[in-house]
Amino acid sequence: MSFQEKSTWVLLAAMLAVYGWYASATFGGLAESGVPETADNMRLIGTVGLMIVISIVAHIAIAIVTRSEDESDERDRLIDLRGDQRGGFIMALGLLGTLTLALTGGSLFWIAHAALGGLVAGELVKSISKLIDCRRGV
Amino acid sequence: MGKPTRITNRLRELRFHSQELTQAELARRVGVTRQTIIAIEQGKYSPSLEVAFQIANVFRVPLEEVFQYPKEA
Repeated sequence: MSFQEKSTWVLLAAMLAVYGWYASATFGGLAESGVPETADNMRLIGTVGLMIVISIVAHIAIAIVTRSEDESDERDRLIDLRGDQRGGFIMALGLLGTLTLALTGGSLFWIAHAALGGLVAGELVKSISKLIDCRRGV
Repeated sequence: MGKPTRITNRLRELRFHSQELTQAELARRVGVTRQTIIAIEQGKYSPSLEVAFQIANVFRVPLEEVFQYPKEA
């Protein structure tokens, strides 16, 4: 398994765990407590910040463990490019959804979470695209 | 799978005839990852012209002896 693939697997797992926790903590009790007017800023920013820290630490750790036995080449760059393209498309859809919510007077809570949702969905699609391309070929 | 390629290659055979040159060694000489050599051998990736020529150079054969493309009828 290449460095790129290992790194993508770890990031995907971290994303599912961190954002999964965030989603259950934030949306879990909505049915009983009702939708708040704004998002819990500290939790939201903290979650995104935590994900960034995990990404950096995981990337460095995998690079040390695999000792960069292979550096990236043209195939890796092509896989990255295809992942970025697909993830970027989904992220743009998320942005349009967020914009629509803002223009139609949606609550700050849902605007913030539409933006976060677009970001997360884009990253998930990017990671899954990379893993599929690594395994099945480009 | 990505768009299936019609390009075939004789990498495995050429490696065998070069004192069982390993995929890792070929990758090192060409400057790509071992995964890329594996993907090329399995027909899952078509390399750039530059990498294709570099592979041919390693085996000291013309490009057409490494990679083949079916002629149109």
